[in-house]
Amino acid sequence: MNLSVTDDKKQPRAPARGFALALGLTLTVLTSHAAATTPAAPPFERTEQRPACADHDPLRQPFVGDLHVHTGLSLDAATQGTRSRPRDAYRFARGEEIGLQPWTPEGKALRHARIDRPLDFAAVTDHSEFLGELRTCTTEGLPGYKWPACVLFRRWPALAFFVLNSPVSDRESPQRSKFCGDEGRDCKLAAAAPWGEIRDAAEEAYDRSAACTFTSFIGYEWTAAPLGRNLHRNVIFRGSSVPDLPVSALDVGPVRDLWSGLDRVCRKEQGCEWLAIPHNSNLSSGLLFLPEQDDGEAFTEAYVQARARAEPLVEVTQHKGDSECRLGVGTEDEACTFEQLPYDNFSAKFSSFDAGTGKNEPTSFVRNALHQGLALEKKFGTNPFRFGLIGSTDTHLGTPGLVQERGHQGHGGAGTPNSVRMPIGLPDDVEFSPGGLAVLWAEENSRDALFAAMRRREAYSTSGPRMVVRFFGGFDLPTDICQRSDLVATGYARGVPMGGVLQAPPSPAPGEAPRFVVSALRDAGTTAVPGAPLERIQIIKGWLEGDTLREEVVDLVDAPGAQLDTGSCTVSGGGATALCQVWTDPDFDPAVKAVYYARVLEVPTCRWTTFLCNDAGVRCDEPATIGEGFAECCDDAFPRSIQERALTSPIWLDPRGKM
Amino acid sequence: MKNPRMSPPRARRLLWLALILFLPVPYWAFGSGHVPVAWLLQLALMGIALLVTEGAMGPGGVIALLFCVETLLWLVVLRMVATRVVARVSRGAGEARARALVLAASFALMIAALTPIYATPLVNDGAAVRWTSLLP
Repeated sequence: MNLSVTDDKKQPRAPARGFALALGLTLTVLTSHAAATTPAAPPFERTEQRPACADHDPLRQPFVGDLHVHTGLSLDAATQGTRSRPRDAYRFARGEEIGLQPWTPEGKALRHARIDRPLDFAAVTDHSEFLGELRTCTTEGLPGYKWPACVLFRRWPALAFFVLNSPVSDRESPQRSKFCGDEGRDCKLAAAAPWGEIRDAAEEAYDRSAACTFTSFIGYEWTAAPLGRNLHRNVIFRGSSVPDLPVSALDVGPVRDLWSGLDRVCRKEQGCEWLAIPHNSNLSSGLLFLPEQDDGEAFTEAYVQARARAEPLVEVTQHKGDSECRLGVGTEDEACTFEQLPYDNFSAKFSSFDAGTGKNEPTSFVRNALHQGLALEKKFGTNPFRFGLIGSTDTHLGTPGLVQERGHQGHGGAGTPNSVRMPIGLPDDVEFSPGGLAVLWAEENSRDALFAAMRRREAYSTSGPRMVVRFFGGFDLPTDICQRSDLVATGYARGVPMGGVLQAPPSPAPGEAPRFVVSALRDAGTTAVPGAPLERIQIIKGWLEGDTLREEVVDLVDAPGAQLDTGSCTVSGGGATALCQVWTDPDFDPAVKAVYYARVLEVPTCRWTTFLCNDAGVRCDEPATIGEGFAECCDDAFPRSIQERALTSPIWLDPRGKM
Repeated sequence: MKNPRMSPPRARRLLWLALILFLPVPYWAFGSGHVPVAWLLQLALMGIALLVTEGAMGPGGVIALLFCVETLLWLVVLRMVATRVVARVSRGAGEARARALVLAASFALMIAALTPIYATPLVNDGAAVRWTSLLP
């Protein structure tokens, strides 16, 4: 076991604002290692005209954000009483309090929320579908306002959701409501206003001063879900140059048409760039990572190249469960029980006629896709599943980054709406969680720098806590790198960071093998709610043995002994503030493609339900203490404790060694 | 029931109407709950309007189908209930008392409707509500 906190002699550089309070001194260990003179990878391309950020580090800093946020402009959020708008969401991300439903008739919010620490970046990603329909049904005088579908929306919004949302489940020919006019013309016209609001809010929230305190991206969610099988993608634009309207699932068919549609309306030569981030593969019934196209067509070289270019990241964890892996579905990894849903598509959640296929195909999970990508690369020459990992919330309350387990208020969306009354009992469906965060390693907090980080996959996901994780791989990394003050500079100079591709030498010397270093710092938390210590670092390796995919989970280092009292939710003993370990792959074969990513686990802590159940005085051995709405506190299908985690983007070992 | 204002057919219709308006009956369509048949009827009518405006293949058709079937079913059942109750009470208690009983039952239903005895996920997040909360 190697437990080390590097003794950094350098003066700590001011970290990103969202991290400053939380991490304090510990952050500097990983963000300002000495010898910061070695430039990292080539600098990002600057496309904006703006003052340079005062806080710029060529060795990159961790910026924390949320790239999956819905406001009242999304149909499902609106039908749940969410009134926050994109500007509110950005205010929230920057630390301001906002009101949440339910609302009084006088328009006063009965609930409120404030993030414990501001985010560094965020993107409001309202559903592109029905932006115009929603506008039409809520704006008297617009054509269609008095149509039955809109009357239904205003009178029975929960039922209207099923009516208006149904086209996204239609694979063959999604049709807009008739009130949208010929070819949806009226609704497309009406969508201009909310899309403009989304764009304007992002532009206003973006800190273009040298302080670089906050970055906002214009984005939206493409929401195809044929027969309830989730194919959703968040589309993130690099800058302020964006299409006049989003390309929605009502306008295009399979996902390849999304990419080509975006290519048509968002051209780099006109200053427009985009990327797409799939999410909730766990709700796709295996469709998202199927080795065939989503309309059943076979993969082609053009398709895999387009996918690899369009989708450099995957959202692996969020409010509606974790998609890394599932115990028993292609893996025996015992840590793959984290935030698993009891169904594998949207229809199964909402329909008693399809009560969970329960099949949970391997192609529903990111790890399997990472492994499958190796085989696809062998076949097509391009790996369509070479993606990095991020987390986000998928909040439908306009509350980006609201991930605290303690005091979780739900996130709406597919969960409990709390639209017109205060929650009685648990405020959200018990299977859901507060969601996760995205962390990007970038030189500065600007759109160009963060977008470049997304493109090169130098990113990691967390299930909520803001632990700081570095991951480098190389054939020339020193074995004592954890003890060196120039860990980061050495990692960049003699290896590749997370998201990178490591070139295997064609003829390695005897004993030569790829070496990896994972260094992690616990989330310092806040004064009121300190973060939990770290328990373990693991590396998950996948490789192709002939035509067979293999996986191995390696425990690199651990700090056992922590005890969680679920009655008080206090942790005692064990755990570490920092963990760092070097690992050399003993089974390295230079002819074999492999993929490695790191998982950092915290010691067990209370799940959000446990905090609320304790606060309500629930004792499962005394039925009289189980109040209305708290029965699920005692449902053994849902754990009392969880192990929060970070998942790094992988490093791919490529015998051909291309970046 | 010699009183022409409350002949047996009229008593039957009055009770049927009271049951339609106020008796909570179970339903299953886009969730489940217990609501008056009159409430189901307005959803059925809304479904028909959607069917006409949006086309039969869309969810309007599903809504119309589900709510129309359930509404018709309950209308028939409640009609049978009203008929049998009035007939039985008339036979057993006499017409005058039957008239009083029908009026009392209708009134009791109306009073009960002022308490939160209805619930549907489409109103008030599924919490129990009064009859007035179900009104458009």
